[in-house]
Amino acid sequence: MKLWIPLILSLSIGPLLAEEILIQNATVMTVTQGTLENASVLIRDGKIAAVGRNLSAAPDAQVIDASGHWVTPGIIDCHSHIAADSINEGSVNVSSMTGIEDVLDPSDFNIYRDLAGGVTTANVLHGSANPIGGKNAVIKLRWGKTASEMLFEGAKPGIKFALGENTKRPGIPLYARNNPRRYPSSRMGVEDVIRSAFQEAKDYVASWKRYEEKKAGGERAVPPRRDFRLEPLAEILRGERLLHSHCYRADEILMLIRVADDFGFRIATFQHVLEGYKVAREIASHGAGASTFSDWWAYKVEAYDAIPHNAAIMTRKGVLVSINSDSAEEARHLNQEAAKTMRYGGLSEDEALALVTLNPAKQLQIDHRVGSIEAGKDADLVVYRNYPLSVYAVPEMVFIDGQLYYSPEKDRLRMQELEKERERLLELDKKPKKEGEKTGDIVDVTGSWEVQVNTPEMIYDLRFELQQDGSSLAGRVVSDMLGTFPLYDGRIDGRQFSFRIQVDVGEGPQVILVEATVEGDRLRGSAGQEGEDAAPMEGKKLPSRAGLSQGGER
Amino acid sequence: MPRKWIFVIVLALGTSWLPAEDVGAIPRAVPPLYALKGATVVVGNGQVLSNATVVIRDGLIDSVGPGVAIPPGAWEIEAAGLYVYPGLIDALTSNGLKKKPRAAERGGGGPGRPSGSQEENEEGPGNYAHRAASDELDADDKKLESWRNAGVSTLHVAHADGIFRGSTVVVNLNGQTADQMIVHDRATMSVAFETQGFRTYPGSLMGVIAHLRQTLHDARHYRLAWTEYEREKRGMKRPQTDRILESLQPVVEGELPLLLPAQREREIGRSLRLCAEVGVGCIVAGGFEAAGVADELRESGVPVLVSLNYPKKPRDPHPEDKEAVSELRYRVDAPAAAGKLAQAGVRFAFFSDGASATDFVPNLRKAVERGLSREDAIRAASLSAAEILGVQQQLGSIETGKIANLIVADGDLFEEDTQIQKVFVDGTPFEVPSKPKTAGGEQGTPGASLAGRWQLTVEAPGQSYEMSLDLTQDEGILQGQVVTDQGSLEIYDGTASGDTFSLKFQVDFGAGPQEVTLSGTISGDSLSGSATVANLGSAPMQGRRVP
Repeated sequence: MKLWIPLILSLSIGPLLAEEILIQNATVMTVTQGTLENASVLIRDGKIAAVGRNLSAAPDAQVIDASGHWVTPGIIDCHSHIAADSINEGSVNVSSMTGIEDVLDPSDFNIYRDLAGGVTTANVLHGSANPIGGKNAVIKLRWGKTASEMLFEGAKPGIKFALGENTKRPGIPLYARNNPRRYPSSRMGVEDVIRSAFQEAKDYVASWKRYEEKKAGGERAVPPRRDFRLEPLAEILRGERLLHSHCYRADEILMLIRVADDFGFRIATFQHVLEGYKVAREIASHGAGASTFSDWWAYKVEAYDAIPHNAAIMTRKGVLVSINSDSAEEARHLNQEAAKTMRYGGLSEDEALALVTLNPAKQLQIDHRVGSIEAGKDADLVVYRNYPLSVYAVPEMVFIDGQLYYSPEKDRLRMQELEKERERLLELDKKPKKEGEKTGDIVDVTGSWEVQVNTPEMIYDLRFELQQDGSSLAGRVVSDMLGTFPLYDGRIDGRQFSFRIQVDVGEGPQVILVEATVEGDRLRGSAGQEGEDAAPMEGKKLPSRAGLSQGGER
Repeated sequence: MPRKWIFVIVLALGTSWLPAEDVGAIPRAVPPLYALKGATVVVGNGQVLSNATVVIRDGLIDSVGPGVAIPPGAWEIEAAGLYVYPGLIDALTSNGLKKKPRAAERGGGGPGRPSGSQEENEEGPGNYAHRAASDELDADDKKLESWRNAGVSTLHVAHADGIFRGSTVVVNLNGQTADQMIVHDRATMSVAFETQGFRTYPGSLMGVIAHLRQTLHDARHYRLAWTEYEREKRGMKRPQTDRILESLQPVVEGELPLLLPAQREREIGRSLRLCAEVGVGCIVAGGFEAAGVADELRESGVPVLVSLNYPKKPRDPHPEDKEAVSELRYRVDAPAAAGKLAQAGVRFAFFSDGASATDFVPNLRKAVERGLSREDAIRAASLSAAEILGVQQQLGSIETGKIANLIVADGDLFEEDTQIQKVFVDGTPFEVPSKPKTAGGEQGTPGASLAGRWQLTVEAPGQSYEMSLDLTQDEGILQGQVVTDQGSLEIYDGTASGDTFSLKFQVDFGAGPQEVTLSGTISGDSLSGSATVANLGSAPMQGRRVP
């Protein structure tokens, strides 16, 4: 790793895509060509130029000595909810007019967290609140780029469906106590919603066809209203949009396969699909993929029958299987999630790694670009310290399109930059500004004040002997006529202060509130019993020699 | 010390309060011709004229320049040493609208209604595109005076609820009726990404965007269907009339831009994308992070309304809480946004965004402290705003033929101690009460609110006076009227801080106007204090709130 520094420097100046990067002396897990010991990966123009032993690079190439390290394809998370400002449009049972692309949040910190866990591509899906959800967005975790720049260019569009408990719950009185219920409230209803929507979509397509025919025939015709809710469904019918369906139970999986067969479309993936092992043959013969968890179950009734062998069993039955996160945290260790299938079900190293690389790439139909380390594919790579399919694996470098997006060193530099910026901002934050100039307003009233209170009957001559400590005020009030009274509740805020004294002139104790504002060596304010009319008060500060220290008793 | 300090001063109020017409410093009969002589005139287009004269005739600027002749009959105002600026424009606010409960003209989806049906929900609540802010102006809103006193002569008023919020209106802060105030009654179509609760469509941001997209496409389709129908009505089923789609016609025709709130980079990006996709004009409001997408903004020509309500420091945070750099940057650099946009060549103006009138100019000043030139600041707050809102023919600069909206200040507006003396709106002069230099600054602690109606009794010896107060409170500023059985009198210099208040009004006892000061403290629904007449004395005052 001795050549890291120049690499980081060059990458921090900008994307030097024309440059070559050679990662050498590594154990390269290609997924498609097995694991190559002591091999190199050559990156050129953001793509993998070559993989193998004894590769040579251009003289000005950046060379990374990855001795003792492993290189894998970037991890692909086939079920994610990061990077979006909203996830569910659950108010309606069909929300196919909505889409994650409209609400991508490239500043979501989970992008960076997952990137640091080796994830380079994520399928950001709508939630599972309704039978037909919103359109998904496949993104590359290009941290620092804009929403549009994060989109996986040319990824086939998709949509989220959902079956079972989450979708029927808003229709169940128990859960909808004080709110309008939303159809459906049963699995039968879920099927009905989906079938009705596809029927509507077919009618919609037919209405456009009728219009086109009329127009072609020279007949008078107004085009149908564009329906953004039905168009995605029409695209599914035409095979132009991938359908990713959240599901758990075997019966609902079979239900959706029947619906698809009836309407003549193919389901791209079953998501979660915890009972997939029960109907793996049916899933495989439909041609759908399955994207599941390694060993996450029993968090609700429909998840009771899950087993950790699910991924392996489905794989052996010919299903294209991936393991996903559905969680910004879980996404950070998908390599380990995949590894569990070697223990539970005996998948090979390549099969296990494919669950989080090549297989999700195939499910999302982006495997011509990513998912394995092969010449011509995008240089989305993870350099691991320690064996990637173990709990000791730590991503040391994460590349997307041949650019280093994460490394502990780059992270450290980033943190330094941020701390520098924090200092700059904090400096600005305490900058003069108007309140700051009130600092000039903060006065010290410590000392003796000659004060007159102008009551209707007479003018009282008093002396305030004040001691200020921050915002609190202590001292006493001296009247030649009435005596000396210690002050309490003394407060000072800016140029304004107040305190109370208790006096007794033979009619029982009374509390007098004194409030004043200081201007230079003058004060103005009022004094009086609380709740009664206060009398105006004026005062002048005495020169300091008459201050508290010498004032004393008389 | 005595238990009570008894007042023996007589409050000689005479026998009657005079009617309001005879009171106050603002002349009611407005002469149509004024000449401001010898001022420094900041034109608003970047030009500054020294020792110049501005002639105002019948509400318009008749002429401006150093050598301008003063027409006979003009009311001459000596303005040597004074600065004249174009009246400032608050480029987006909902001040000036009648207060009323949230409208629900259309849609509903309230409790008890099953919401599974798409068709019912899709039109949705929150769709008030047919509503016009110009129909719901409140010319009597006392708050408007505080805006005028702050140098803001013109407001761009929009409703503050719904997704499609309705068309917006540009008004001058002058006029007895709403109609007299209107300068441009269809400036933009205001929209917002407002969700309607999880259970009513649209219940999410992506739902709102989908709803905006569908509705705008529907408006286009509506036009298509009607055009075809009107070409030959016979033989075609008539399209359904829809007043919302009807009111969106100028939007899809490109005459009325959409006005979208967008503060963060991604919010601005998504607003630009939506408008470009649907093919409608676009203005974004917010803009603290607009500099990050400056290139896109400049290339698309989309202007930005920059908020003058800067984010506040979190109050009393946990000592171990460290503000994230991204949040700190957002907050601290917010006043720098305008300067960066000016540098990047993006068109922008300012809007108050809920900040109070007294913060308008001080917050402009903060933008200047953070890199915006004074010229650009004035231009943004006047001519640029006028251009963005499509009223640059009438407003925004001190040029011949434009509406005479002017500020007369005793110095450079960006100097802290500069006071605005007069504001002309539509050629009508309004005196600005000089700011009470209240002790401890303007930091009126938000205490008890005095807003509302109060019944007062002033106990002068031998006689008690009943009167009522109608007050509105905007932070530390009190406005309203004092009503006696003889008439109502305008209040001025009203301030409130914590639970204390003070306000003034003028009466004439027959020997010229006298100033009466009411001051005291409020405690719940009662107040107590004193009424003071200059040179005569004061009397105790008690009051209670009238529900």
